[in-house]
Amino acid sequence: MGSDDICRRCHERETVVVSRKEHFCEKCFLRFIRSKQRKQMKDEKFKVKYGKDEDRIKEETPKIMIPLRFTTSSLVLLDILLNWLDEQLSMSPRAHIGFDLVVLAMNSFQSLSWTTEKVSQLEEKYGGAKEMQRLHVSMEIVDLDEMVRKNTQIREVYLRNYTSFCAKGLQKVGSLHEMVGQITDKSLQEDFLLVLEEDVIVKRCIANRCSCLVFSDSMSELAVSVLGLTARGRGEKISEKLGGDMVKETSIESLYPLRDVLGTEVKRYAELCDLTSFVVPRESKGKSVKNKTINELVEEYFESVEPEYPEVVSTVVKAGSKLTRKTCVSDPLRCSLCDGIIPEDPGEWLENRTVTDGIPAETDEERANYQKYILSVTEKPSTEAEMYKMPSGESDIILEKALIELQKVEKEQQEIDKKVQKYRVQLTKPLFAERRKAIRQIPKFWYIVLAQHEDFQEYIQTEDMKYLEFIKDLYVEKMADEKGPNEDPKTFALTFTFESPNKEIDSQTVTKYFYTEVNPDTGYESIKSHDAKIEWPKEFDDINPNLIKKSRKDHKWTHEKKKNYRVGMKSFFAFFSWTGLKDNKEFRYGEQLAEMFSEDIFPLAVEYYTLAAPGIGKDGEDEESDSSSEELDIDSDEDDDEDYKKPASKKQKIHQ
Amino acid sequence: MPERLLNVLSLCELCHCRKAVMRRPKNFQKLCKMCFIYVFETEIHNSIQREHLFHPGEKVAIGASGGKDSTVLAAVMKKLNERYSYGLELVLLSIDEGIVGYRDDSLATVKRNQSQYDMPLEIVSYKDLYDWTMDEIVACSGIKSSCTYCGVFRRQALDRGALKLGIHHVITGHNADDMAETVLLNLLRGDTARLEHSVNISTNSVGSPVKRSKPFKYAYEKEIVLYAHYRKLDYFSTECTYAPEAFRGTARTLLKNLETIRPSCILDVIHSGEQFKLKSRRIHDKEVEVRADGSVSLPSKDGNRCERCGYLSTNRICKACILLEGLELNRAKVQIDPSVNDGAATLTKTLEHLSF
Repeated sequence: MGSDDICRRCHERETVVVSRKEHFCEKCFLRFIRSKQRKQMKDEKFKVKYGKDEDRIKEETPKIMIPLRFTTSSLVLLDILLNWLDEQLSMSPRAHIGFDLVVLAMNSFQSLSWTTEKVSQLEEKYGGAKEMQRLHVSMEIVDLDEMVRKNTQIREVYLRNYTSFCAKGLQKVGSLHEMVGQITDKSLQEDFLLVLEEDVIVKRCIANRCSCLVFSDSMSELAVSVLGLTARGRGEKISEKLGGDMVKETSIESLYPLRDVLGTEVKRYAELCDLTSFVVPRESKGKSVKNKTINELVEEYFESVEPEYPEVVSTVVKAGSKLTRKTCVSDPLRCSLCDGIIPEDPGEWLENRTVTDGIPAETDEERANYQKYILSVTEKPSTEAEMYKMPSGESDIILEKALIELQKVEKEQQEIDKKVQKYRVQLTKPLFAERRKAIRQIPKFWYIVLAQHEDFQEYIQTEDMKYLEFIKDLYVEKMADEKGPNEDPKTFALTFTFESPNKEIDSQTVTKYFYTEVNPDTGYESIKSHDAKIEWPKEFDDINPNLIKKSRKDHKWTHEKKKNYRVGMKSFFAFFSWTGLKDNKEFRYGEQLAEMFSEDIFPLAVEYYTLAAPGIGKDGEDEESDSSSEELDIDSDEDDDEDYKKPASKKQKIHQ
Repeated sequence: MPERLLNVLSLCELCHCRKAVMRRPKNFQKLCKMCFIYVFETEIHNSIQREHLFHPGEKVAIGASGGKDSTVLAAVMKKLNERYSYGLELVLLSIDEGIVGYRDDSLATVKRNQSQYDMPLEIVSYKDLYDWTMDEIVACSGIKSSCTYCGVFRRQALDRGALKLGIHHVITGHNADDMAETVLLNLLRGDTARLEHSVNISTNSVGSPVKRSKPFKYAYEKEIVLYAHYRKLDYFSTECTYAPEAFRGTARTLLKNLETIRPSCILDVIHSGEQFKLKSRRIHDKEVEVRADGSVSLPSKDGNRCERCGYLSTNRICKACILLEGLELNRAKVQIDPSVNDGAATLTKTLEHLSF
């Protein structure tokens, strides 16, 4: 009708969107939003490349990753980036793409099949697989459920039984969604998923060798983060997110290209580009306050004040980006869940500001009530003397405090122990690698060691012994990361290399992994493992449990087969299948052998070797066969004195 | 054995010997009256000790408005002063803003407090200091900015009142909810200058010779109300007639909602506030900054006094005087009908149309 309905930018087409008090037609609006992203990513390294030197161009082309959570803003950002890549290539026939894009599709609420379907639909929408290739775009789908189930790629730390999440501790059941559903506090659920997803994203980013992570948070979402983090007591994290630092302690750059775009604008963009069908359906609103999460409350708050105070969202984001981290000590506290730096121990902070002792009993009635309470808490019936003991209030409180102190100190001591173990692992790793080289030169080294070790032989059969001669290499590698999240120094990999010239046993290298599990009820640690495939010697075909299982007819066990199975289970080769999860149905001494290998046989191998072959070298150190060792011939004990003199003089000469 | 033994489940969670009568807003602990009072008071004491707020022999003025925060503050300070021998000399300091109806009642409460707590009382009024009452100010410049004026004037009034008595330390009843609200507001308004220091328990601002502390920094508002209820303290509970700004109110609602889903949110926000640190700006020495309201900041000069009123200020003219100048220009335009005596309510309605 009037001039109001015409786009203010091109003055040609009809207004379709009104935002920031400006009127836009569809084309100009899309261009406006895209320009916001371009501005945030205006660095030279993302620009289109020209030239013929393929290698140089490849070097200069960065690889970036965009996590695609199927939120409106992540779909919009993907659309904008694809549009940009297409534009870059269309600039000239000699143009090279500005950057490689890896799309990490992930979703913790929908099934893997939903995600896979949406990804293929998206690919179709943008021109199919060929087009993706032309634009240097690759899609990777992350299955969070699978990661949780298989315990791969996810730090074991998430799956411990934190009682602060839910009273019984988190049980590893079902899908990620079901597991998270056990957490009673909704905001905590939200938190947990965010931390988990971020960790997975960073890991996949590193695995794909991307140098830059592009997050799709719009200005509104960033504002929600700022207030959300504040409300959770994590004010120090705001500067990490908005300050433009590298991601955690990697060298990955993090960008928020949509940080100048409002949430409403993102929605309109998605509508105009037909992206709404790809968005993850969210739970409908209208829940009572109690059922909302912190972020949902903050989001609603912004929606309610924006009409009257429109600059609120951008003000909050600006304020957040002006923050920085307080300087911290050289070895700061780290969060055991997200590995972030904690500037001040929050538990201590809260404890200092909360009083937890009360006023002890003063009247007879009160004392009686107290007795009743004590009785109900300690299940053992108290003796008469205890019944009539007057609680002196203060001494009880002192005792309780002392016990709590003891607990604290004990815990700290355990932490120190762990640290020491880790340190030892760290120092001995390179040493063992060096030692391995030397050992490989010594024939039958491990056979000698194992034969020398008395206890080892208790756990295997005599018939197994001869096959030990074919062990060319035996290695224990502790898997604890030096600085990393895997703190358990008892996780290790045991590798056997068999080599037999006459094929008595197949030449093979087998690695068996071990990890520790803590029983939630008793607190005891036990070693567990997996079924490591190994080719048994042909001689043992009769008792090889794998072959027996295969040959069962009608799933029936004959008496003889059962007997042979049981015998096979005692063999050293059955140790490789031991998992620690099937009581009485597998190799009996799996845990003992595992510990023996990692804590005894492997570290002290050289000692055992020298015990077995006394007289080789003065310090028990083996020497490469050279002429000097020939003098020290133990067998010739006819001329003792002469022999004694000879080595001594020889040695003196060498030293001079 | 006495017969009236209680069910173990209904016992106080701290002493285990008395019946629990309430749930603590801070952490939902079930407590008996005695333990609650003890815990509340001891936490204040711990705050004071941890931050070394006072030294023995110090003369301290309690900003008393007659409302629940300041009444409870007076009651608790008196008790702690005696129990732990702080050695403080406590004085009640009250401000008369000149709001007919509202102020008369609250001042009456403060006068009762004086005798209840046996503390000397000093009253300072806007009229005496600035020759303007709040009623006149609202008449002149409307309601929307009334809180701004009142805030600036009250701060100066407290300082002047304290100095008059030779006191250099004023304590106010700002509670945890207030502190959390301030943190959120500073973020929402982008008030980066104040972000770092908004949660300090005591401020020694450059422009003022008086130290201001908030012993209730970690005390929940709900708990203050409960404490006043259990100790049957006397306070005046009506809100200021010139209602608080709409924006601050929205932040307050958000905070209350957050408290509903997670009561520790209030302390969490304060904890966050304590972690904030601004990226350093490069400020050159000779730079003179002109602020939005027209005041000018000179490079820090101690002992600088306002040219108009002699109050200690970094600027040539202190903020109060600047505001007053603005008001004076408009005084002549508006006549207040002296016959309007039924309090601020009708005044408010009539004056809503007059905005500055």
